[in-house]
Amino acid sequence: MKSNHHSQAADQYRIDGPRAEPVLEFKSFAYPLVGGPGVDLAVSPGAVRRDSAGRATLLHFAPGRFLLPEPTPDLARQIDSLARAGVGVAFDVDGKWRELTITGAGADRLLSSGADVAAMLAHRDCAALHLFDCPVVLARRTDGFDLWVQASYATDFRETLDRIRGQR
Amino acid sequence: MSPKGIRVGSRLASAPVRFWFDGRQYTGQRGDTAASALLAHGVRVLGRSLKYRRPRGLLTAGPEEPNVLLTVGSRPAVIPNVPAPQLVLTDDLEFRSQNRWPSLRCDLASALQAGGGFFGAGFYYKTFMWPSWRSYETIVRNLAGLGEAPRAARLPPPTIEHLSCDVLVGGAGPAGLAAALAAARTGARVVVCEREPEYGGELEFEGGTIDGRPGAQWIAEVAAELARRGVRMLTDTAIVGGSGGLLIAHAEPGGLAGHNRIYRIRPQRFVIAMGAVERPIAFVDNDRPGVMLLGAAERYLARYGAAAGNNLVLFGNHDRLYAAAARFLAAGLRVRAIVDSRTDFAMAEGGTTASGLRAELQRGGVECLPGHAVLAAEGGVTVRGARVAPLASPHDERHIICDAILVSGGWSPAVHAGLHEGGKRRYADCSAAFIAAGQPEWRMSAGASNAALDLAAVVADGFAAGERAARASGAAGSAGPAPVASGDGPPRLAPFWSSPASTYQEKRQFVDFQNDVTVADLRQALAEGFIDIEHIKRYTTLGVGTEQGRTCDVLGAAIVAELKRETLLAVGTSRTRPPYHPVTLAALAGHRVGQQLRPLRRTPLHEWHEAHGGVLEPAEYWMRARYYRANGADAFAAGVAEAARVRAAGGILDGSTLGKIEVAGQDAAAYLDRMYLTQASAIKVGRSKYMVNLREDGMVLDDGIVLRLADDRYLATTSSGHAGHMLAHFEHYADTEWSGREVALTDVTEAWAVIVVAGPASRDTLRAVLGSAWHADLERLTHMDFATGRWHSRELRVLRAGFSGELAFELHCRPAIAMPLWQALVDAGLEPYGLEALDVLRVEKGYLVGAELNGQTTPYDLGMDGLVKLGNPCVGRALLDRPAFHEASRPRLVGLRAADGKATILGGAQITTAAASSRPVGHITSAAYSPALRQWIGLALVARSLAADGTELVARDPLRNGDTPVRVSPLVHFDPNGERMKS
Repeated sequence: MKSNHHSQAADQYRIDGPRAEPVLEFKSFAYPLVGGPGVDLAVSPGAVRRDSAGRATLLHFAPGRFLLPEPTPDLARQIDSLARAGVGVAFDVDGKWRELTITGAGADRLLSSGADVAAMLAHRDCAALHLFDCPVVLARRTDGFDLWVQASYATDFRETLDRIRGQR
Repeated sequence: MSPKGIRVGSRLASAPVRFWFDGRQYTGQRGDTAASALLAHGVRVLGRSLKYRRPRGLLTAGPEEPNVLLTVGSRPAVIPNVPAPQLVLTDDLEFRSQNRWPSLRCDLASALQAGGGFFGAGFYYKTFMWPSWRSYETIVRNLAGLGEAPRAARLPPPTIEHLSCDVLVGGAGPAGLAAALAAARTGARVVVCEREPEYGGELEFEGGTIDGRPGAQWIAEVAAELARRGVRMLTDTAIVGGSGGLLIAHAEPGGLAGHNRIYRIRPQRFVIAMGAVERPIAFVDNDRPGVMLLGAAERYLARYGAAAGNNLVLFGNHDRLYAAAARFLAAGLRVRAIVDSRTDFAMAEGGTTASGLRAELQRGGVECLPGHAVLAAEGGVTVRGARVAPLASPHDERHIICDAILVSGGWSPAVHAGLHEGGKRRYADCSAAFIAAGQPEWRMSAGASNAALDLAAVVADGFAAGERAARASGAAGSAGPAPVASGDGPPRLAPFWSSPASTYQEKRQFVDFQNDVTVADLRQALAEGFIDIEHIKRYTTLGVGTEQGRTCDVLGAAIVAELKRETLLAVGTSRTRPPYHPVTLAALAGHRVGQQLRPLRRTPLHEWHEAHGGVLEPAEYWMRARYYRANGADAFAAGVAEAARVRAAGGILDGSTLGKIEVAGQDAAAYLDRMYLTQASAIKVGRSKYMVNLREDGMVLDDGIVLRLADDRYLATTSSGHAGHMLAHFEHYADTEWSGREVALTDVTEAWAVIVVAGPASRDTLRAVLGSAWHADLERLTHMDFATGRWHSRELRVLRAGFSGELAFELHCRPAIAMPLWQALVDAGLEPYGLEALDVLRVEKGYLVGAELNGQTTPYDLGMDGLVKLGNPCVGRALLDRPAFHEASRPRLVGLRAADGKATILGGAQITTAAASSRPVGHITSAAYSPALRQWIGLALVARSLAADGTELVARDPLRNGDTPVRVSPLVHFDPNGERMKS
């Protein structure tokens, strides 16, 4: 009788990154958003908006807290108008985050070494958490995960993933 | 009679596996464990006991094995204390016995057996005192302990996996499988942890059917159904502890052949179906190799075809003896006698199955001895016979020739996982054992863990528990009909703990085999006043070590109860603590080893420091350059040289680790006024101010510079590594006390690299590096002003500050331009300095270095009275008026110098008023050798009554530096008027 400690699928994943990219953060003063000029940020906490290529453009990672990776000029303008309307504050955090992508059948098992990501993302698509002791914003994608790791931790985070890969 | 190794058929593959035990080559079958293979070879002596070094053989067939722990591998990469029944053979596996020297057969320390009286309970509390412990320490340390600690790692490092599920089932015996089946059928997400490599528990060798099918067939069918339903089955995985709804399971497939793995499992419901552990009975020399637990002998026979002996005596107190005897006979072994401590009356009570079987066995030539006990295991190194007598007349002894005595004193339910969080036990009469009681809603026991001991009850109880657990977790499907089982019926056990023996013989009646605890030891502990079972455990070592009382805790408690003439219920058993079975520290550490012990944060300039001789050390979580090798042979020399160069010309420091929190919104100024001792709202745009935060109790929490970026936007800097903590502090107040305000915060530490340019040459160098666009700003900026602009098309902020007491600038830049900017400064002639030099510069100027903010200092203690007088009503301000904060005994931050101007003073030294005094009046928080003043200087917190300049004190540092006369000096040692800084 076989035990499922470990299946071949657990080894099948690919890690890309960390990559540097400009990121905006937006923090609303209240949630749900109040007093906005009709800008559509009406994604519920935990939701991720993606563009037609599947790239995450808006992550509502905690109530009223948004991450906007590589914001398009249009989205940046929308955020700016929200800020000017007193809905919240936009922070240009260029350099704060490094993005990684982990794809493949073993991505779940890899990250579950650090946290119960299955439970964490059971009813949402993104969350802010400490993974392998590093602060990250984690988002589920159809073939794995996108992660934004605080830049100073990024090298260590990647090394930890590589180490775990070696352990399997 | 010398026992020979026997294989009586086996389910194992016939492929041979070569292995080495104590340097000798053997061959086993693939799938064998070290225990089964050696048993099949007739090797009976496999280890020595801890204290008396008595020869020992296998007692059990599971991880609870107390006698045979093996050291696997060769030095230095050994793995000690691997229970032989868990070690699965692989090709050319090499292992050896423990606790012997020079060899297992000839162990010199076995002479300790002669000192049995000397080594009684608690001997180490009473001996080794004359002339001193040191006289014995080396010998005792060499003899003590289990196995040998590894000096090098050999196995791949373990991993940790987090899991969640609706129902976790601990155990995959009949109860566990039934529970998993019921839960899975309802649609629940199920995880099963089974400590054995196979499912089925004792179904493997016991008779009985389930749903009309033999046990093995039912197991296979259930396993297939569970797999189809997506149940995660984890074999070789024991649940070793739990806390707060989190269960910790440890997997060690193959003993050690596979990967060590820790599972952290959060289930909605937890079904404890981990069966029960068989108990021995105390009789004289019951540790002699050849004495084995009955269930273990059955398992070795059924699974591995390895017989415990050719001629068997079975000894116990329940009906299962007879069914087991029938199975041994069927396997071709000879059963010489069944010694049953119960009387005929007790055996007949409640059923006739065993009585009928007994008659059949007797017709087959097996001698059945009701109301008898084995008084002693006879023989030399191994068992050669059993001394037996009727309990009614113990002196009517007789001898039965045998090569194995198979013992069963009943079973102790494995309920540890339900007791690690302080759960209670309830005594179950039917099994003469304790089961978990008063469990929380999310946890339930089933099967033998619930004192159900016959197959029909076990399966029904397990199925019901699984369905109940699944329903409670929200599953709504139908579990269908429960499996119907029929087996041998209840064992009808009558408690029997120890055979009659003289007080002298009690020294050889072993209760805890691993720690050589005997009935005599328990009697002695009681005689010396240790009457509580917890105290007895500690005094005698009953149930400590890797075995953790699994076979001996109830037995020991029962014997104590008999000696005290109390009930077992009244005595109770000692508390069970995690881990239930040994877990390597490496398994617990998981990925947190070596470089990944904790995350190390790197600045954008990290690679430059590494490439240019920076000696990088963790400071908080950051990797920072302590000094640069080119500047000196060690930290002291380099630090002094680097500090001197900053004062003489200039230098650059990577200050990117500085915590940075951006605070924005219409109410940002008002909010920060509440968070700092002085008013942020008074700062003009383009200016900054040194600010201090308080805790609610008035103690200083942190300090830093706050920059006003715009009317509604600030940048608050914090100590390196404190940004996360300070952000949480700020957000707590923003979200709770003043939640209605329009203020938002985020950590921007990594969004801005910081390069500190300090020294007389700093302005001129910056003019050259930053270019003409910055010239006006560089001339205009006064102390604490800042300017914003661009360099290489990216944002740059230049703040005139630097915590060195020199003309200095902090360059806050985007990380993308940090490296070219740093390199440009180096190319312009500035050299880097590290933390050692920074500390020197700060101590010279009387700036807080770090140790002054210890959570116990107020602004008054730190000489910030002027800031308090401004009267800003911030967090912690109200409590600054407490009288206790103004007493003369409160500390005051002062400068300190060696009285002779030459001696060394070190941070951490205690301050006293005189060399003879042992009562400290303060301590040195920071100290450094000042190249500018050419002497050691320091900062110290001393009692206010002694803080006047010129006060003579003594720095006492007996371990490092002895007593040093010191003198209180002004806090600012260098450039007291700040002329260099303002230049």
